[in-house]
Amino acid sequence: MRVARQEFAHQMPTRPTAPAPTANAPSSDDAVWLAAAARGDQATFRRLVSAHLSHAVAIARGMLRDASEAEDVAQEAFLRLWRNAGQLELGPGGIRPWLRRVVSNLCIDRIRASRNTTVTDEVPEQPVRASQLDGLEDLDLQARVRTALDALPERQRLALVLFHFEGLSQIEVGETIGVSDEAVESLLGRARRSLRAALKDDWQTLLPDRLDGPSS
Amino acid sequence: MTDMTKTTKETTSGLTGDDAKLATLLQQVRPVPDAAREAALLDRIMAAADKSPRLVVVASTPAPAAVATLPARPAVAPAVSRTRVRSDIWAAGGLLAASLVIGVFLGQSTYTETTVRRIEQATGVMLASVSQDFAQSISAAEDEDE
Repeated sequence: MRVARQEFAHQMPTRPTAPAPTANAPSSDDAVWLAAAARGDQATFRRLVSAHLSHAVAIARGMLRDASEAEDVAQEAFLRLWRNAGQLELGPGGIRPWLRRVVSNLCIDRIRASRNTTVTDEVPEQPVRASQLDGLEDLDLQARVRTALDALPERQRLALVLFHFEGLSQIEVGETIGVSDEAVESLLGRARRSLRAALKDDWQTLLPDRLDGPSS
Repeated sequence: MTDMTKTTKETTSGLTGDDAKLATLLQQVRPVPDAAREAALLDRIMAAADKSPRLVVVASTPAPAAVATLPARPAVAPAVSRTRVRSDIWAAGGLLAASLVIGVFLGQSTYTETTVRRIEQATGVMLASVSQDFAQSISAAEDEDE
């Protein structure tokens, strides 16, 4: 019989660490690392976080305009993982499906909470790296795209971020949001239409020389 | 992130027309990971995890010997529950009420009267007039003494 006991991680005795994972961890290693983290192995947990941190931050950055807020969301997701490592049961996809769901839900919670908050000061924009500007006409256009993204309903924005930013399939997007493949297609279709409508003034002149195929 | 980029291209490869144009645009506004910030975030997460209470699954262990050798507690009579005391009070009250009802019923009915008559006829003793006769005889005796 196994029992769950409330303990403090820093009071746990030192335990042997799990095999050292590589930088880009395959999902099959997640279960081993998670089991080690469940036993209180902080070194292995650090490797687990390191392997999936970029993914979590990228989703949060896609959903939230503020980079610091996105990092807070990623931190909260990994702390939940640390606290509940012993209770999680991983599927064939490893830790990422769970991580995507938690990050997505935390982002949606923050977006909804921010709607009920009175903004008194303008949040300073994060500095944009030069590499982000490649292929764009100017910073103003990028800001307009970002604004159009932020104006989308949360689920449409999430579907768009997961599909276009993170390269997930529609099935994976559906698993993350908790809807069917067909519903994801509908969400994506509505999100694209909304974006096109928001960017209609820029649409005809939007990078015409860098895009293949005629605009319909 | 190289694998992710490849996957993104694969998932959006079926798009045509405006959707393809939009996909290209979104790829260019996609947030770029910042290695320095992520390294700092990793340290922050580990520091927070170090201070965070957590659920740990541990294997069950036999009870410590000190617990096993504790002296047994002296036997204490089980306390009478309030429910039981309450039910006893109700039972006694019910019994008294029933006795009262039976007494009133018997007093009102002619059953006792007919029963006494039958006993008088059977035994020849007039039960109903015994006490009256006795009182009269005592009174007569006193009168004679005077």
